[in-house]
Amino acid sequence: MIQYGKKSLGSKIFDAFNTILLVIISIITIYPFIYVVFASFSDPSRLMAHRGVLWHPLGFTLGGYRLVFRSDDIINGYLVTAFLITVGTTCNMVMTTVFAYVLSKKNLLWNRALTIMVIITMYFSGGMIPKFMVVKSLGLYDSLWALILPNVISTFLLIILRTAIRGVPESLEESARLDGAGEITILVKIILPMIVPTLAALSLFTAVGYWNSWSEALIYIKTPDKYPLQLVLRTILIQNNATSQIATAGYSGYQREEYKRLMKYSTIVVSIVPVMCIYPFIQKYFTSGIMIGALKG
Amino acid sequence: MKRKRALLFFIIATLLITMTFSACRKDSTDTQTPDTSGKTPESSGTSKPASEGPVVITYYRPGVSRAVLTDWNDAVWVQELEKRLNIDIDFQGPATGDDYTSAAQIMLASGTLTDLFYFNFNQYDGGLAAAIEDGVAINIGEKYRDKVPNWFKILESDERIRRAVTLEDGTSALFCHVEEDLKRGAYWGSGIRQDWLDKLNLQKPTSIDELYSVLVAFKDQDPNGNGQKDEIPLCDYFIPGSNFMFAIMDIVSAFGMLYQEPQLDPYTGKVTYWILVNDGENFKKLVTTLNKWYMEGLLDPEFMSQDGTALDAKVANDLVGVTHIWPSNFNNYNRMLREKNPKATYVGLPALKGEDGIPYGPNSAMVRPAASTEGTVITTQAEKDGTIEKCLELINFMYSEEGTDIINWGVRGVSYDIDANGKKYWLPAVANDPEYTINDMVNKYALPTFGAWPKIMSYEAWASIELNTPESEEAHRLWAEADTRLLLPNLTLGASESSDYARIMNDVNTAIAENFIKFIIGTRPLDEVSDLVKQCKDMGLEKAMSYYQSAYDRYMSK
Amino acid sequence: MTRSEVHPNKSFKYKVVKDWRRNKPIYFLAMFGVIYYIIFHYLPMGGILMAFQRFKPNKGIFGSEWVGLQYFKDFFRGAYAGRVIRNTLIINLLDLIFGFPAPIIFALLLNEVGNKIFKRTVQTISYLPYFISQVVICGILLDFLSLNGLFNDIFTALGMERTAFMIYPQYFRGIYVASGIWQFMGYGAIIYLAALSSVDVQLYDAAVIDGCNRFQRVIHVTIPGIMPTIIIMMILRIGSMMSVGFEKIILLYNPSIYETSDVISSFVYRYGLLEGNYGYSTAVGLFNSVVNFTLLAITNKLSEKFTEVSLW
Repeated sequence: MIQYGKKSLGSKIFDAFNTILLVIISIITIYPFIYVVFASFSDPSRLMAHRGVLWHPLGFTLGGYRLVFRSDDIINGYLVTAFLITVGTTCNMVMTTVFAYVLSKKNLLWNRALTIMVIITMYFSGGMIPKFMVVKSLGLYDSLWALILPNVISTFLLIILRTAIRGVPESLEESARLDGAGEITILVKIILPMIVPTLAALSLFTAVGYWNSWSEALIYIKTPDKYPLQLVLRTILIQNNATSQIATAGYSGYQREEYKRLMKYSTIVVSIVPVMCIYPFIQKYFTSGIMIGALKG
Repeated sequence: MKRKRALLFFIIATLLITMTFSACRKDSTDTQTPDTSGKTPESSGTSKPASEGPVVITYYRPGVSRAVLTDWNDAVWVQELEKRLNIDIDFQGPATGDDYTSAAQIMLASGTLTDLFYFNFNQYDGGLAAAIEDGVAINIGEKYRDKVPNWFKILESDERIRRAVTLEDGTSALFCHVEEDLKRGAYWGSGIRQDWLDKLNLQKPTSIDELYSVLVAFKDQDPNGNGQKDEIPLCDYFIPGSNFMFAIMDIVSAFGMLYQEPQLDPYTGKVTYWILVNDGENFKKLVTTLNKWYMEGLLDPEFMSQDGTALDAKVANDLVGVTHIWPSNFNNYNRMLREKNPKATYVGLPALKGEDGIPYGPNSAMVRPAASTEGTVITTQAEKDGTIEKCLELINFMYSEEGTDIINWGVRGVSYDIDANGKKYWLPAVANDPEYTINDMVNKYALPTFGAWPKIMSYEAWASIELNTPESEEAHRLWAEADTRLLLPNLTLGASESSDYARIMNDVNTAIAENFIKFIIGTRPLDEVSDLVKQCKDMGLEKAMSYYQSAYDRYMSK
Repeated sequence: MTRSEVHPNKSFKYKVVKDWRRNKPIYFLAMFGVIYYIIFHYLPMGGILMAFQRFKPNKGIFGSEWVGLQYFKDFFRGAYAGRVIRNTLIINLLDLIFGFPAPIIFALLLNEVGNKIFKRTVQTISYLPYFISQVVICGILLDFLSLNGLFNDIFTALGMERTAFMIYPQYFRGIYVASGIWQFMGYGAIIYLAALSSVDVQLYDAAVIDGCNRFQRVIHVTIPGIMPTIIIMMILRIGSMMSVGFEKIILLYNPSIYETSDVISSFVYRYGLLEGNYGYSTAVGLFNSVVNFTLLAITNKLSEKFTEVSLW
């Protein structure tokens, strides 16, 4: 928000209400995360007996985290996911942006056909089996590229990006063309800087998507070394589920069994913390405005 | 601005290059599985002649992720099998149970096979017979009978096992988990607070009516001693996604019915469904009783909407008298309660008797000598790879006495030994590890529990791990005394019948499940039970049961 | 005379050639995307045929036995088909009315905040529930909704009775939609925040010069500035009216509230537990897609007429 001159009384009252409302929203939305963090450090038997709001960790233990990090698979998971995020997000953004640029051109004769072709794929799909067969026949089975290429253009993001590109004033493009700029130059030098907030937001979505993904790896990857982080966590979590029906009666040291319950929470914290560390750096790109005037000339 | 962008680009480029490099490096090294000697790099579909080193067999099955074991190749017993047969098993497949089915289905549907493949063929369209016809599984009985003598010896010696694992025409293609002793199946049931019974001077109930008086006493007489009538005499939970409620399941059987499963009618011996028994009369008695208990506050008001964690919390807070008990609960519940109250104990409750005076048991594992719909098949891929001989040898060995010992107990002298009386016992490496409990540690050396491997389950090995408290031993004995006449073995429907069955039963189960609750909590009057019975019949329930009946007839005539 | 006047019959072909000549570099760029879509989306689309046949992998798509509309009949014949479709639509409608505006309003409110740190903190916090797995969120929710849970504690403090919310069908839809807002408002707002950031500052300057006060600026500059985004998102949202994801439903529902909570996806899921044939679920999925796409096309046409924004 840019403030122009002094605020009126109505404006100030609004600000006060707004602030209160946003604080309430913050409290409500932060609770699940706080609950998870507290639970992940809590003593498992006390956690089991507890109902209702968690105001603080019940006791303190690192047992859950120890179980999560016990195996080396986690390190592999982080490496694989890091690869997917860097390479994958870049591939996605490049392909999607280029195609969004194409679709943004209203004067293209085949624009409508292409757009419809693309949107149809959002609704009609043959399912996992034929997709798997295609991936396999391309030789991508058990390759990390199988986790990147089949989804390299997300139609939903494509549409958003197209809308953003269409929002760029045509005058800019025209003047660049008059100066003799080619399409790619226009795309990179004129369009991209104008849609930075959208690019930032979509890169975030894509990166988070890769960070959270596990279901594709389940099908396409057979070597456990290549499992992305979430699949590793999920494997550890489900196999150690204390309520699973496979009898796992305990002896002395039974408490180790209890820590498995904590893992449900520890795995989430382990997943969120890295994202939240990097998040502020990306956030500023889509929360502050851009000055078109400053970019001109 | 330009400088910043250049810097950013440079950083990204460096990251990309390092990542790609490390990924490429990983690609070339990841074909080697971690540790242990004698491993050659595997790739699906290659085999080596015996003279060149171990034969590689590919095996698609659920992986393992336990505290001490994350890779089957690290298990001592697997290594021993590999050593004895000079093979190297390349395990493929996701580690998690639920996800396994969908992943495996995609493998099968796309024709991606491994030499050995584990699957629940009830999830295969048309069942095992179709899998053979489709060229997925090999009909071992037909082509290689003499190569797997140990297996066929078992079939010939035990009628029930033979019926369970072969198809109607005698085809044998599935190698599954086989039980040595059927009473192992009685590993769950309901449990009750013995200390509450003692405090109130009550006997363990053996019938529904006795249970009712006990529940009333629990409710009124404050057995947890805190001065409040906060006890929940009977508590239950359900697993999200299924309709299953467990404590209720145990009680339903006292009325001659099985909860949500096809069963044998206790009066006619025909295959039927719970709501049809005695034309709905038993169902009516059941919901009338439960409704009474609910209204009197004997049944947790949230019994049908809470999940396992809510139940655990209530148990931990010393509130619950009777509930469903899994074997592990004897430890975690009892131990936790004893921290505050040393006398607190859950003990097993036997199957209860209803009006018929017979303690019908609800646990079908008690009549299933083999986990016969799910198991490992040798696929046509093994023939293509040329590893078929070794696969047959492996399977045959797994069912031999030696193989059984290795799978259930591990390696003699390493994980177990035999005492003067010929009884096997666990060595300190397994039983006394300073960091891990015996239940965790044993997984590194052997597989004494149900693990969906082809094997003969050793009752002894299992009991030595699972029945390790006096309460669990006693409970297991009590539960094993239940009457089994309601229980059906594993049946497979014919291909065309199964989708009709699924269509009808999805509707029927939905109708029964929601009305069952409504009758109990009183939002639907009890005299409308007959309307529900009629509704189910209109949906085609009797036709669905007739499919099951023919499957049963075929089974019994095998 | 222009070419089209000399050869009036060839005007379409003429247009194609002219378009190609003018936009060659664009078409070159388009090639990559088109290849992607063909390989990974259109090639596998043959799988849709599985809705009409008993697919057998060794026989392939063209060799497997055809059953025609059997699975569709199976689904619609069922006693509950009407109910699950109705529940799906009602839940989506409620979500459209309440859930769709929430991120927009939230983004607008955030936009009005002057203090950068406060703004960014609130935005970050609001995004957090998205990362918490559905299983944990539903666990927390069930706990709060229980007889002795947080919500009942609050209500009794306000003088109302304790209610077990999850056993009576009338509460489910509200719970589902409200919890959805809780989970996804922050995540959904990001798109709108990005759009807000793209509004030309000079438009605000001009509005001030014209004498707009703060609220008039919102109405005349801000909202029109993000209107294309809003409309596109709304069209896409309407295009998923037949889809309610099954995971959250499965984690929250229980038989006593099937009446309002059982949706198409949860019903099909239970069917799948009984039988592993793809045909049924593919058929129902196809039905969903057709309805969704039709709704999309209609909404798109209407939007094209009344606003100038449309998908195609």
